[in-house]
Parts: sequence; structure tokens; C-alpha cells
Amino acid sequence: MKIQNTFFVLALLLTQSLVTAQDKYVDKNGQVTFEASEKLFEEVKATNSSVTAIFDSGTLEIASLALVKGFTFKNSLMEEHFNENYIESETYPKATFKGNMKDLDVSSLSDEVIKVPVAGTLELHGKSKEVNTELDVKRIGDIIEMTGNFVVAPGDFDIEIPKIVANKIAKQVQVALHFKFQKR
Amino acid sequence: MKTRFKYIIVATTIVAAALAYFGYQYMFPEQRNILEEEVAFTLPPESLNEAFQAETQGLDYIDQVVQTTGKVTEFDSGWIVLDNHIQANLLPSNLDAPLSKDMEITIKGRCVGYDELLELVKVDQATIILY
Repeated sequence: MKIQNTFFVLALLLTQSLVTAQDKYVDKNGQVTFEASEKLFEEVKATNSSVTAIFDSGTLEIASLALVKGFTFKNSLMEEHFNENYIESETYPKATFKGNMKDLDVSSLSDEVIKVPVAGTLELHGKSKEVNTELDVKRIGDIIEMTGNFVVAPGDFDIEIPKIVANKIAKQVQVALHFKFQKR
Repeated sequence: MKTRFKYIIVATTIVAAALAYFGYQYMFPEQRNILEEEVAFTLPPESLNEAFQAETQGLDYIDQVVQTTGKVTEFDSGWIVLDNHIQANLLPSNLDAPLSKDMEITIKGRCVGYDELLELVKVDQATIILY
């Protein structure tokens, strides 16, 4: 009897883990771009094309991680200043987002774009901030594609912009993301 | 008097040009070329991954050029996973590289950091240097 019970529990655990594995969608090379350019001044823009994102279609949770050193600028001096003086990537090497996609019915996704609200927390430079935005979501074959934009301010994350460059860097930073999730 | 005036003009032009040149070099330095840079660390994928679990949190490796040899455990266009420990994002010049699972390859790239979600060390601007 005991052995049977053990088998039952094992079988249950196995099916459960299979179910969770099926629900997971992963993008190992998501793209996140931020831009804080001001008119007439040099472009302040960086892209990270190796952002990890995991989407759980069961719980509708989404988690993302960007290594700060992975953001590349056109101007490498700007990249150096970004890493050393602003974001302090040695002390705070990653930026993370954890959120939930409300009202998303994964089974009804098609190649037609739908807008899905997302609420979550963005953490970088050792500080957290609530982010509420909408993502454009569609499904092409086995891939769930999500794109979106939101705005953050350097001040929200205790990132100080020195006065001497303050007029060259926008107070509002535009963040754009593009994820292509594949079933794991 | 005239020659002296000419001399001043020529000298000023040369100095201004030099200042402009070095100023530009300072403001817009060349991008790093990882393929051309010397390798700072050569180690297996597992050791690199372990370095990020250690107390130093792999700080010594971040932003350094690393070279590593391992088995391809997963791959897609533009990226490979070696020994389930490293994800290397390849430079466009590698896109045609014939890859298959379990083949052993050596790559050289820039260590970006540790990704907790995937439990992989991420390496970018990587080049396959040996099949």
C-alpha cells in the first residue's frame, strides 16, 4: 500500500512539473531599448539584445532580466559614463521586471494584435518602481510576440544627472521592449 | 612682418586641427573590437558559471574577453548555449556557422554577467574560433 502511495505521489509530482514546464515561454534574446535624447543634442540611446524574459501562460506572470552591461550605445564614451557614473553597473549589474498580465486569454491569441495591460515592478540601480503599461500581444505559430513602451524618470531610481549635462538628457526616458517567446 | 603673420596663421591652423582631432577622438572613441582584443581568461563554461556563485560574484570576469570550450547544448540563429552554463550571442559574421547539438566548439567573447532567470552566464560579441 505504502509503495503504491509513493508511486501515486511521484506520478502526481511528475505530471505537475510537466504541466508547469508546458506553461513556460522563454525568450533568451529579447530586445530592450531606452532613449533619453533631447532635440539638437547627441542621441542618448542604448539597446540590449540579450534580455531574458520568461512568461508563464498558466499564472500570466512575466519576469525579465537585463544585464546592464549588455546595453550598447553608438558612442562608447557615453556607454562608459552610463556604466560608471549613472547606473553604476558594477554595484548594480542587473535590471529586472516582474509583473502580471491581467486579462490575457492565451488560448485565444492569434496573429491579430491585442492590447493587454501589465502591472509590475521595475528594479534597477537598487531601487524599485511600479510600472503600469499595455503590451501588444500576438501569436505567430509557436511564438508569442510582445511589444510595448513605457516611460520612467532617472530620479525614480536615484540616478543623478549632473547639472552640466542635464539639458542634454531627457527627464523622461522612453523604454521600448520586444520579446519573442518560445515554448520551453 | 608678412612672413611672421603667415607663420602665426599656419601654426594656429595646425594647433586647431590637432585639437579638433584629439577632441573628436576623446568624444567619440572607437568601439571595442572583441575579436581583436587579447583573451583575458581561458576557462571551461562550468568554471565561469561557478565563478558567479562564489563570493566575488564573478566581478573579475565582467566586461573581460573570455575564451571557452564546451559542447553545444542548445542553439538557434545567433546564439548558442555551451554545456548548459554559458549563453554566447554570436557576432553576425558567425551566422552561417554550421552548428549541431553536442559538437565541441571554442568561442571568444565578452563576458556580460550572470543571468539568474536562466542560470547562465551571458557572453556577447562572440566568435567561434575553433570547431
